[in-house]
Amino acid sequence: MTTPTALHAAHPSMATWHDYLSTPIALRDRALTDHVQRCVECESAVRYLSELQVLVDQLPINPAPSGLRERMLASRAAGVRVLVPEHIDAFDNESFDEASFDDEIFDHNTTSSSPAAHHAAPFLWRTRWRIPTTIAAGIAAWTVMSLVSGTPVIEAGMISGTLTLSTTLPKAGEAVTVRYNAGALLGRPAVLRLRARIRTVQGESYNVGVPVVEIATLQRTTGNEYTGRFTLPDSVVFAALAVEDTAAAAVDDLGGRAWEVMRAAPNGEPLLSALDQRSNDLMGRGWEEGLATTRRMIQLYPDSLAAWTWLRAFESWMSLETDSTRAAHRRASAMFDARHRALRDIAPAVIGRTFWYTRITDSTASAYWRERLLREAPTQSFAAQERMNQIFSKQFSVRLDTITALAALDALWPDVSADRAQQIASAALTLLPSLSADAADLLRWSDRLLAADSSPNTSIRLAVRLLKSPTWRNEGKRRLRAEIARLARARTQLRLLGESHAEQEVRLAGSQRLALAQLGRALADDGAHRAALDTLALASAAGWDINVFNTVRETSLRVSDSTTARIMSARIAVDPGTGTARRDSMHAFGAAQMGATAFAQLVRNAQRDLSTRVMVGAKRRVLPDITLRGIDGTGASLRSLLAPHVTVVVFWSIDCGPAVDALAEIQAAAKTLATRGIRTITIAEQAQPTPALRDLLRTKAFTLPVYLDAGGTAGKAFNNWGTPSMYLLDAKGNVMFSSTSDMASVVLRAEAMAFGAK
Amino acid sequence: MTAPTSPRRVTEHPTHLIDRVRAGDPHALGQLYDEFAPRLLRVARQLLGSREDAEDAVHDMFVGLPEALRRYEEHGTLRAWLTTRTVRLALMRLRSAKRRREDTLADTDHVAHYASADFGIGMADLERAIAALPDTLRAVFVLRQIEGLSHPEIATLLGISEGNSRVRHTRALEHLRARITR
Repeated sequence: MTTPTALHAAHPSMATWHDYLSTPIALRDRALTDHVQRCVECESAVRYLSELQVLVDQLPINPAPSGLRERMLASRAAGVRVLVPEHIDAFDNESFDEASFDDEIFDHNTTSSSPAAHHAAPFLWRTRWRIPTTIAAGIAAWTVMSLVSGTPVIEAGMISGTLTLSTTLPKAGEAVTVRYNAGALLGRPAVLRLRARIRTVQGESYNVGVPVVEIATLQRTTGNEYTGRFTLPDSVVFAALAVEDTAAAAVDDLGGRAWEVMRAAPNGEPLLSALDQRSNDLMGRGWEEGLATTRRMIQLYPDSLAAWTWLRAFESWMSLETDSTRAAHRRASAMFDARHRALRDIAPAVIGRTFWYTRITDSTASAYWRERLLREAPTQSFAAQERMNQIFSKQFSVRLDTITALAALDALWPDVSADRAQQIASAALTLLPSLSADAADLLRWSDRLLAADSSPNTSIRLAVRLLKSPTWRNEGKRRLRAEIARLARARTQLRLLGESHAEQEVRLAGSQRLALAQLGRALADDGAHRAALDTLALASAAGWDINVFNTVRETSLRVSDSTTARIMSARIAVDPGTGTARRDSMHAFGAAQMGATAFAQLVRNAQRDLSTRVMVGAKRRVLPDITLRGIDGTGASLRSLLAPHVTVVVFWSIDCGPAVDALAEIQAAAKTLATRGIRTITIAEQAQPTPALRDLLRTKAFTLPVYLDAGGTAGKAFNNWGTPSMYLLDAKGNVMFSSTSDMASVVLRAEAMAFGAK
Repeated sequence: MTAPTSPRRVTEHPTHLIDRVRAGDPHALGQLYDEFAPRLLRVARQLLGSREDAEDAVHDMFVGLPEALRRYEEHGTLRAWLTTRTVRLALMRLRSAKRRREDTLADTDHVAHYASADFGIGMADLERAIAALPDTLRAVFVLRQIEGLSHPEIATLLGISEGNSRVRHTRALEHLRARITR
């Protein structure tokens, strides 16, 4: 409130008079009372405010519609979840100059009360948006750009915050200061945590097993601003960052992109090893960014064999090889071949990489380097792989003698480096017949693989493998139980960077159910029927996993639990991944067991179960309406393209090999989905309908609607990166399930949504 | 005259009801809906200018409530807490998706047509005048004048400064005055 002494020369604002009227008479400001008594203009304003308040107080509160109540409860029952924001970005698209109004005194003589006059007074207006000096990813930059240009802010921009780093390229020992402007996702707790997936020079491709650690605490300073500071250990050359609350209930990882830091060389450019690790980190999650990283490597380090090896790999994976790229690699290969032959003292890793790179470009050079590799560096990673190939291609394929082959792999094992252990142990296990394997071999190689890959899936798979061996049956059961227990207490060490505790629990519960189903089956086989049934009940109590249902059904039949078998049969029958013959057999079984009518009711229940259980994983996100351009040049809003209930949106690119390869599968699935009223539209990540695109569509006989993402608007709205990526939209155009490239899960989720909508 | 309203006191809900909602009990959620939805719908409708959009915002609020309540620390009234979340959802809808229907205030059959001797306007006219305010001004007007929030509370809710809130309130009042007294 303005001090009274300041008021004698000017008219108080409407807001001030509103405050004045809200205050009990005895406590009202005397100066204001004096003013209103002698100022006709303010007396009129006060009268207006009083009368307005009378009207406002009469604004009715109508009963809430019962239909809305039912809709809300039905949404909950169908598993729909909505993220209620704890904070929103400044509601400020018409910014005001705060300083000009801090004293909120309006001089009626100089400031018109007309709204038009306010809008016409340029000195009153100033943007409040402070463009950060460093924004670590394109989405944040786009958000700022869209604010400047007046484009509606997308939901993703509001949910994700803005992380500003003092540098994204810290040198060894350099502290990084963090400023985080929290988005709606995280609200405004006093403290947030900054976590990082950290990579050393030894980091491997993909992000399985890459450590995720907390590297800083972010303290709230003002409003939704947080600050913190961290220094990466010297061994870390790359880190992907995400912010979360202290309970890990919500995680902001920039829509899956994560913010990034790379170790810089003294000249300020990213280290080669940092770019190398970024490429490893992007494997399987960002093809285009991965390719861009390898091109940056070539630009900064043109003499690096690692850079050229990466580039060739990405060009191959993304189907970008042309005569000119092959020629470039041949030239580079010749250069590295000549240079490395001239070295008098050459590191094993260089021999290995030279062999690996030349094997595609120059068979003569490759033969030379292979011979040197096996002779001079037999324990190098590529040498171990080559020796393993030799065992399989020369020894085993000719003689089919598993004993000799395994003996050779055992002899190789001491030379196997950590990055090859998983590959070679897996290969050895393929030599062991499932039932008649030598017990010692099986346990030894299982343990070797488990030491290299302790992921739940591998652990369960190996335990099941042991179950099949009479010698290790009890050991297999013990390991399954141990894995179930490990998953129950594995919250901290196994949580991924962008994963909340709840999401982690869903993921781990899925693995647990798989282990429970396998254990239940083993217990049933061993005659422990009661324990088997209890275990299987746990396995099928939640989630929707057709493998679990198949296992539970099979086991239930074995222990004469026909009730459970019928329920599982109904679930198998409604699963969209079940083939026609299998579905028919489930219906025949059910009808024989309980009559067609009763089984039909069970099937209806199973459909409801499917919807409820799958929709637990839905997370609704509002999309702005966007305009897409068809190949024929016509524009269409996304909303106008939506199906009545469910629409699948597929992002793909002609530059992405995996996406192009997936087109046939996408088209086949879309055809099935169409029979259920679910529409599939595809968005190609390019601005113009190039001849290459038309040729590809013709070659692939691809007939689904193809729209172009001119300017990347759609990609930004969906927060998409990487292809192929599929999204499921409801009737209003809200994203219910975000990016996935797994067509089976898309079909399952679409089915769940369609059933829920009906 | 009647002073501007302050938030109406409501009976605090017993902790066990909130706990039941947190646990996903649909009956408890329905109870909360019955008690609070009418008021929340009004604020959402005033902010969005559309009954259907308001219903969507309130729908979203209650659908997300069991999870959101895990952050509720029971320091303030539950109604105020629910109001701020509803307002946020409404503002997000207002800004990101824009309203789907701008016209439903004309369809005000549920609004009593009171006569005002002073302004000579009905309640529906007032609602239309409020709906015609620019989004940023209407948000502050609704929160201050109708919901009775203080300027510091509005500033926190909207992510703006307190001074900015007062300026917007003043401008909203001037807009309305120009419209309903002409």
